Amino acid sequence: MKVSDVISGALFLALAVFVFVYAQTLPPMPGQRYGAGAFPTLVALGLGGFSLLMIAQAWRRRAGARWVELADWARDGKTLGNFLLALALILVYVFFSERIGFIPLSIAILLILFWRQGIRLGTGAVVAVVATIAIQFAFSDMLRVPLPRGLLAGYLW
Amino acid sequence: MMKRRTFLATAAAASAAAGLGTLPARAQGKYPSRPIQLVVPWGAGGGTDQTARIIGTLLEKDLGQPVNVVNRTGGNGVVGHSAISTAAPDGYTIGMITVEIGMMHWQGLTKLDGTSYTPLALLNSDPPGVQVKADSPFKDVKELVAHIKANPGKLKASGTGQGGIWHVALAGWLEAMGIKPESVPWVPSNGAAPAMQDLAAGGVDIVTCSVPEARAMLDAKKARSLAIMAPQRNPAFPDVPTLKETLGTDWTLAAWRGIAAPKGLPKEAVDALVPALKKAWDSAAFKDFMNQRGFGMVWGDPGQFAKHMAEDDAKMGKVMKALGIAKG
Amino acid sequence: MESILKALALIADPYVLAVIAFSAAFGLFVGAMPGLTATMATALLVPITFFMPPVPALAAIVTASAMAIFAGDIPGALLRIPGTPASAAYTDEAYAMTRKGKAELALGAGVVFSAIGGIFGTIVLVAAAPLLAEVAIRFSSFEYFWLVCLGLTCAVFIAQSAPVKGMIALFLGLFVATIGLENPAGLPRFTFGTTDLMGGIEMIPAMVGMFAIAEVLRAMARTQAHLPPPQPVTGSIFRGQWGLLRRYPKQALRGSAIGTAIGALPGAGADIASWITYATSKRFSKEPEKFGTGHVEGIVESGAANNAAVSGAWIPALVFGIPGDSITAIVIGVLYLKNVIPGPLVFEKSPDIVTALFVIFFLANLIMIPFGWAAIKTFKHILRIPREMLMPIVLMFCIVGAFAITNSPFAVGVMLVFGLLGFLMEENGFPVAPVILGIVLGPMLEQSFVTSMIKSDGSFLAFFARPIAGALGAATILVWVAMAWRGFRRFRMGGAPAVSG
Repeated sequence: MKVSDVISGALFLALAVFVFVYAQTLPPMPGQRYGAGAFPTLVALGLGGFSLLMIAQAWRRRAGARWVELADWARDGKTLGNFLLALALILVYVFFSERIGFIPLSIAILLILFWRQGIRLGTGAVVAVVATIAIQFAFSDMLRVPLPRGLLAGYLW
Repeated sequence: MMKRRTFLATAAAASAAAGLGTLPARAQGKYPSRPIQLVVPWGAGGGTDQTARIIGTLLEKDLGQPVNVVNRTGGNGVVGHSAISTAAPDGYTIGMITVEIGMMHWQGLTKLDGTSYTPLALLNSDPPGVQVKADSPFKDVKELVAHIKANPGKLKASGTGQGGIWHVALAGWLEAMGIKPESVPWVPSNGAAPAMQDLAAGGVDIVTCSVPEARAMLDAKKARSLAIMAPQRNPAFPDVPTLKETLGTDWTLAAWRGIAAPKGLPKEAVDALVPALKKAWDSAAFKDFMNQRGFGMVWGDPGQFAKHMAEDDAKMGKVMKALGIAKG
Repeated sequence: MESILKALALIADPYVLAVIAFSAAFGLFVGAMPGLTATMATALLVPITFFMPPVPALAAIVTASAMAIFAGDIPGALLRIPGTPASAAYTDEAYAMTRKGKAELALGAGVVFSAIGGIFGTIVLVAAAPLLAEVAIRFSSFEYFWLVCLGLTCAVFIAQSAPVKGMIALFLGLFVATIGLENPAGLPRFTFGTTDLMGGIEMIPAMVGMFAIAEVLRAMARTQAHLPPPQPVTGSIFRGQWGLLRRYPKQALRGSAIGTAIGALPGAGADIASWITYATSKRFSKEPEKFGTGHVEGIVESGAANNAAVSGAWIPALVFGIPGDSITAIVIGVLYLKNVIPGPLVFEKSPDIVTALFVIFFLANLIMIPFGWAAIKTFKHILRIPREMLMPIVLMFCIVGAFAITNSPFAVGVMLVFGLLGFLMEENGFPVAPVILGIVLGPMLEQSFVTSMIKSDGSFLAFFARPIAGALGAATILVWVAMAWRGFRRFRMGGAPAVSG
């Protein structure tokens, strides 16, 4: 998705304004001249200044340019679906990995992505299981990263 | 269409095979029957992490279950301390808590304090020293105090972040001597090591940090230690006097580390963990490690640990209020 | 001498050697995969090195990053797809050589001059790093403040085609760095009462997101197009390399020297070194008209430069704790984890590890030749792993890798947010590297500024009062004035985006 530099500049400008306002609410450091708000204030000024510069530059060149232009992938239902699906699957991992556990979630995520990417089912299932077991073995068993056990707690350990 | 249906069937089968199905829960045996997580609120490689890892190894041998050290870093310890407190009190998540638990709530960073945990064992305690640059004009801590009194605001000190343990140590000491804490402005640093380097570079004049943290620079003859804020001298540095000896003040403070569990730990787990921790603390391996690093060894059982935390908490509150960094 | 023997003993351990061999293969694989960068190879290794002793941990990163930068040349030459951004400058040249039937010469020049550049950079690192450390012991927050300012300036060089967007990306990174509790005042900022945000935004999950997840998202968003099969490689890749060295010694030396210097600059790495040396090679060539038609001269110079930059980047990383490129930005984190504190004292505090590191650098660049040869031989088999199968697996590795940094699903969320952000920024022509630069340098900038002001009782003059600080400050301000002047003139001349010139 390509948006005009005027729009993205305005978004960054809004962020800068928010950072600036927030920074003014931070209390000063007791006994010191420069508190927690000083640095974010400077960052906000820099971000805001360059956003304005970009908006000004883009405004001069705006003739004929569209405000929002959808890229090829965003107009094609399949690629747009794949894109959103990948985002959704990571979100599912963030919120449900503790409850469901790494192994079942990893197998499911890989299977779904393989399927959407047009990989044959049998191949996809084998690779998903093998890759999951390999990651689980390398990270959890060898490196002792506490990958969430979730539903499998008490069965494998 | 056919393909999709087959796919879903396979996915369901795979998930069931992987344990998503409804298998009966396995019976739990005597505690501990599975690996224990030992949460550390500080980064891998630091003093707290190293202490936790050696305790973890010793516990593992004694309890017969893996003890995995998990670093939950960030927020100057807030993140890890709250992870220990909010874990399930089943004995499978314990953690190493540090002196900051009695400080963070005064600053309004968290509601947690020492009473939010089941204390298990106090393991270690390190008092701060008063370090100056090797070629500093001050021969002893008396000359230093006289200079501070005569030139308030001139000398700058560092050692940790704003409101951190060594900042409180300095402020409490100055207060005990009847000097305003503002007389020595605090330069916040990302820990003791950068502060000691800034001392050598001439950026600050005094660093109050624990003796083991200052050790490398002291050994390299880039810095000198004038005194330690402890009741007794440190056996590793017998030439460094205590504040009591030189100035007659009773001010002492120490950074401590201990093992605790979430509140409401079952008695079965406490009865298994406390003797195991005592055994680890008594072991030659632990003693060797602590002596090699120069860490002070202190033992406190659950009752003593709880009492220690309560006393420490009150002391911190008093100094932090005087410093103006405590909320309310 | 004694420390060299000690270092050799540390490395001669079979475990360390196995780690080096594994990392070499891993680095070659990642570097040769289109879209996977040397930075990503390093980021993926971090959770694994987390659990190793310091020497094998550093060996893994040094070996993998050097191999990955070279390996980017392979798909570039064969398929016109640069394996890493550092190979992009001369991909067209190498592909033109392949079409002329000179694939062996192009790939051979890639591996041989990569090794030469890497070894040159290592010699400078060994010779100059302790020297720089002597100066650096006198560095206080005033000097560090100016150094960080100079480092931030590099964002403009990273983003030469879009300097204003580069600056916006940089300030975005600086903003991200202010989130959390770890600031000089010790006050929570932008946390909105959540404990997770008090820990701030960890750099590594953010970076894995911006580089790797954005890449996975790009793969998902792409309509399926299978990669064309690689061209066969026959004959010896080493034939004719000695002749190249005799014919282009100046180019090899200049590429190595510029590469090392650019690598040592905070914020600029192998990518930029490669583009700039390809430009200098053309600028000073006796036959500039041959460039672009399958002429090996530019490959000699920039092939040496990008690997020299990998070594050079370690100079500021080790001595100042300031990353020389995005690889050493990760390395610094690893050094801290291993209690090897970067800074002037690293040579006193960890002499054995530093010497071992130097030996590993030489070793990694030497074994590049046999490993590179083997990689070229097997490359067509590796390319057969379909991308549509590779990218989902990469995604799972990223999830586990981000999780392992803080052991919380929150880090996976951070990775997701930055992945989406990186994807959208790149689609709109914003460079993402300055964001990472901002996240890395932001805390140092604030820390050095605030502590300097406390030390000087609020006087700005103190930033020029010490000799080194004064010189650094004057240099920084000169660079800024020159850049602002050029930018202003370009803006007045019609608001066209500034072009590198």
